[in-house]
Amino acid sequence: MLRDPATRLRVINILSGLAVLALCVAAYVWIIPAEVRMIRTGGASPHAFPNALAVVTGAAALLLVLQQVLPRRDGAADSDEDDDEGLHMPSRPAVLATGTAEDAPAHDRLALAWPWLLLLAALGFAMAMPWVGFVISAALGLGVMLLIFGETKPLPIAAIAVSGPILTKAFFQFVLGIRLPESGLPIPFI
Amino acid sequence: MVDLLIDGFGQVLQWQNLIVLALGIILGMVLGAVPGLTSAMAIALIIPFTYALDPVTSIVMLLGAYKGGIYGGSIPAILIGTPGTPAAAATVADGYELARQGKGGKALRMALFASVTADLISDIVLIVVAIHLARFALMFGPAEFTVLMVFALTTVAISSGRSLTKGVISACLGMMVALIGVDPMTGRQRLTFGSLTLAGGLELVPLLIGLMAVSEVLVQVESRMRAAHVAHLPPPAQPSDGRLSLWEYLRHLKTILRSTFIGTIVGVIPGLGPTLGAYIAYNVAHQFATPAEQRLFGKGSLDGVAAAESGNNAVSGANMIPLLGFGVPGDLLAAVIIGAFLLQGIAPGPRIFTESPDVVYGIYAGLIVANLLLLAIALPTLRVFVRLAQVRTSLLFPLVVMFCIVGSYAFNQNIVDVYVMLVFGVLGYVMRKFGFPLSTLIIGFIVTPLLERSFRQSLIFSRGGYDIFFGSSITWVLWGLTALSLGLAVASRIRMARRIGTQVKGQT
Repeated sequence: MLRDPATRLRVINILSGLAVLALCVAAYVWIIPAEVRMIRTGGASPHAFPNALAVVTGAAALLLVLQQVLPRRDGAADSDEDDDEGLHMPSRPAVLATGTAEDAPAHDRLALAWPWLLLLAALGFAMAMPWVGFVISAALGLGVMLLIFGETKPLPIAAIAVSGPILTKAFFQFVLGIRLPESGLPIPFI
Repeated sequence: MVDLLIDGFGQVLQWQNLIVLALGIILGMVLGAVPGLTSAMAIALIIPFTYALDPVTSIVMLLGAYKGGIYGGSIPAILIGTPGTPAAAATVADGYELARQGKGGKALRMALFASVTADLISDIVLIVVAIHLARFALMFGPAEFTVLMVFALTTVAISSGRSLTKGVISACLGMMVALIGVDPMTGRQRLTFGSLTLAGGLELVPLLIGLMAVSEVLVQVESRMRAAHVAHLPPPAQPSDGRLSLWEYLRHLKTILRSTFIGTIVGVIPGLGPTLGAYIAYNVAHQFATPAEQRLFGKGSLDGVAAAESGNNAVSGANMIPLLGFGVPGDLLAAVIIGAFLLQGIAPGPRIFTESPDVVYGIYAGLIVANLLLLAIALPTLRVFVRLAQVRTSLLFPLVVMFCIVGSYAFNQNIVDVYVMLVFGVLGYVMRKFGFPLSTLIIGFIVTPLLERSFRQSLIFSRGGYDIFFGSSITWVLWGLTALSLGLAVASRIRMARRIGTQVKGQT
């Protein structure tokens, strides 16, 4: 059922609307009273602005859910999402790649896993940086990320993974005067 | 004013500043020319390189990157039919058709000259108009500023995407995130959950890099996009097909000027941005064209390229008008530029003309020089950028992630900023997947400190009475404009829904 784009959009809108609504209710009932100190400064209380925001956001989230759930007249659009109307829009040549996920090969079942793998690699790179230094963590991180992006040739991977971090560290250190973490190994600069 | 402008030119024309400006333009062109890397992303990535520079040099470098990025986007749009940036999407139809007819060189040069002409005129409008707007803005009290921010956020939310509701939610989420840190009136911590890391609030730079660059890379990795598909383009049938003559430029000057006017108006109105500027200019050029030229639109019209490119580039100078005049960012790129101002300890807004006139006029001079430099750099190097447009992005995106990590870290030399950047990268990725606009979140985050301060100061002045927000003719006009823009947006969506409904009925 979720293969139908319109149904998928509606489900996504309902879920995201409910998630935002839950966040706003939690903010209004629990987070703001607990986390914003009540001090009279004259004018509005310190709660007023955060509470107003929570109410407006919650109302918008509720509206988003209602737009999906309530029956529509005339079989009209699912929500207020529409195209730019009335304009003479230039069309895009159909033969070309856009480089967006929508154009990903249908057989790539891992399409949704790649972003999370990339994120994991970036997180590992960041966590390792204070311990092993920028150059080593970036070299390892870049190598893994190049593999995730589908690079398989060892030479370009090695060239980028080694030269990228060294040049970047040199630029930040000698041109901008910003020192990036070092490994502590008895190798200068690394 | 003229003396200050001359001083500004003196400052920008120093060789160090010229080199930095040229670097900004080249980086912008490189990133704009690679499909998948947008000019907003380019600026977010360049911000860390500006930490060590003085205010004028750093902001001019970012503006140079912006101009270079918008023009760079037209190169793949024309040669491989894939817009390098969203703003170049309208250029594809005619630009790519011209390239398929062996007139790619002509289309690229028309795009360049139209861009530079539009940019230059738009910058002159900025120089003339912004100071008057700032003088007018000095009449504003906190209540007027509050309503102005509400109006700006409303227009940004309306025009940010296909769903008004999602635009509002996105803006409000950005505003909520901005509340984390210290209460501006009481000085007490709030929404920090006892964390010392959150006590100073969230920094703008990691947020920008995460939302604009990391989220884009996460979207792109889904398709593991490699080289853009490049169709075989025929060589020019005759030498003149690869060039643009003065006569051809003059023949399309009327379209360029008309599109510049449209782009400038679009740029002044918060939230619209260069993509819409290009589409409206293209549409108007189609309506004004002769029947013979109209038939060429979409099939290789030089007028179409000129309209789209001047329409999107004219936005760049004009969207600095609300930024410098009121301190309100007109679009995502202006929001990033505000971030650069704040990094340098300068608050954009009407007082900047009296407090830092050297910075303002230095920026003006930088904008003018950037246009001329863009022309000087782009003309002889078009072939290089053509090759860049075909580079394997699978090699570039990992480097982008590395720069995101280094850029976030370098700001405070604190690894926590990198984690914050990654968290916002994930948030941006999820929001993109669910169709929530990122630009409104960023603009909401940026305007919240000013909005909240103005809102609470107003209530202190009025001893808690909300009638202060309706207490002057300026607030009434601004409320009227807010209601009008909301009304127009709702009406256009109802009309659209009815039209689709009629079409559905007709089909069944």
